[in-house]
Amino acid sequence: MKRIEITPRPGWQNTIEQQGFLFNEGGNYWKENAAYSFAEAEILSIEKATSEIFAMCLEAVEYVIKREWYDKFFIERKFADLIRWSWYEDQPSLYGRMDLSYNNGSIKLLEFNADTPTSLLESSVIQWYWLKDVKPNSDQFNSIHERLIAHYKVIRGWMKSNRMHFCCSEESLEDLMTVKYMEDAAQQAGLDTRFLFMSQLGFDTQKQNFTDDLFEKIETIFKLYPYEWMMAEEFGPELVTTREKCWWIEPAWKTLLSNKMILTVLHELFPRSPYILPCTTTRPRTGDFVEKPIYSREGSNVDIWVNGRSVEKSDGEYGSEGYVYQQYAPLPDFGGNHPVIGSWLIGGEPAGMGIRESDGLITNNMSRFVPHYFE
Amino acid sequence: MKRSSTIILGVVLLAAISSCSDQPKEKDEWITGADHNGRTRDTLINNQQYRHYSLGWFLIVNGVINPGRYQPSSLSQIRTPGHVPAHIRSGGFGSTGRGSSVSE
Repeated sequence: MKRIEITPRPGWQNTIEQQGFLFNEGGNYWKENAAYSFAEAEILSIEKATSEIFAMCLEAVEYVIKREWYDKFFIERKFADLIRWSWYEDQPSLYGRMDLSYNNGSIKLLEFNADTPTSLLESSVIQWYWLKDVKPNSDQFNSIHERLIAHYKVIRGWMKSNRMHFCCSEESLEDLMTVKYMEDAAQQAGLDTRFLFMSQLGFDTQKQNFTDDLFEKIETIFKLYPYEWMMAEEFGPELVTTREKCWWIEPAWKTLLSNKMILTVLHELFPRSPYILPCTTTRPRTGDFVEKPIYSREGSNVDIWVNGRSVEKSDGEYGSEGYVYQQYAPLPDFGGNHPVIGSWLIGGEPAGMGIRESDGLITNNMSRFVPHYFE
Repeated sequence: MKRSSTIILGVVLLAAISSCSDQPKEKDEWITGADHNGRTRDTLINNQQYRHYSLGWFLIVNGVINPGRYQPSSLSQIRTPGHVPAHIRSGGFGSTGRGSSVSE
């Protein structure tokens, strides 16, 4: 893995906007003045690790459900049946993103963004077009788009009709574009789609089903909105009452994997895995570790401890449920740039990756997306 | 093995680029439902008063209707004795947003 200085394409800002990338944070998020170069063997090792980690994650979900560790995960008991039901019904997952540390060939799982991952459009589309323009003779670990379309066709077999709804909060352009891309891929797979915002979802008290803003019954819906938020909101209990009428994507069992408590379970089950970092619910007395809130987003409320002192800490509103303590796995340092690998799964299969780099040790919403290639 | 075929952006994403989806939505509020001339189209069936508005017939309560809360009924539905318009609760999701992406 090398960081290579690259000359940006003339007019690249317009180019990526035309490709649908509208949330470039004033030109500070997508960066193409550098790229990460890999050897094919390195890509294969990341792909293999992603596949093996996901297999371990599935075992961890089964382990948690059998032991009914919902309290440990700060999930209200009333949602236990929903999670268990979605698991034993084998409700398929569409996508997820593992954040990996890749340092001198060592791959470590930092966390699994299993419920509401973003940075999808730039991973799937924007960096692919960049490759075609800048490194046309190189390759890229990226079959996200084709796999999405292919997996929608698999999912169609589970759907009661050809209609799939898509929704997200109206507060984030990034979320909207992510969902619009998902909807676009669904249409290319032949699905009949309809978009609405979360606040537009209705509930028919007579028929006991969710409806869209045109009062149409919702049977399959992709949501870019965290389960822990949904469960705490007014309609949360209806997730349980309508479980056989409305299939939510991602399925409810994914909420266990997006919860940082799963990192402790993975360590408990697979202590000798080269990919799994030691992680506990009690603060270590020695060693370097990272304090992570059980529920957290965009790198908020993370505290990195090295040699007995906090070396970097992020602010935020999370942490009320408590923390987990994961052994510190430093990201590589390329001249002050610290890249984290976002390894994508589509339908449970490794599908590609995107790289975000930060000035600091914590990858957050100020990080930059940098394209990659391999030869 | 890893090489993607050409990615084709479909109409949804391209449309979203030019207009970030601004679908109209009926608010949960009581309105007259009158047209721009102030007229309404009402009917009395099975001892219930209905007013035609947008997609169908809405139950009139104290002279007003609520298209954001009740599902519109068709004429054949309101002719059916005992018909009860569907009551739609709304706004039950989406309140936790913190003004930023939900990205994990």
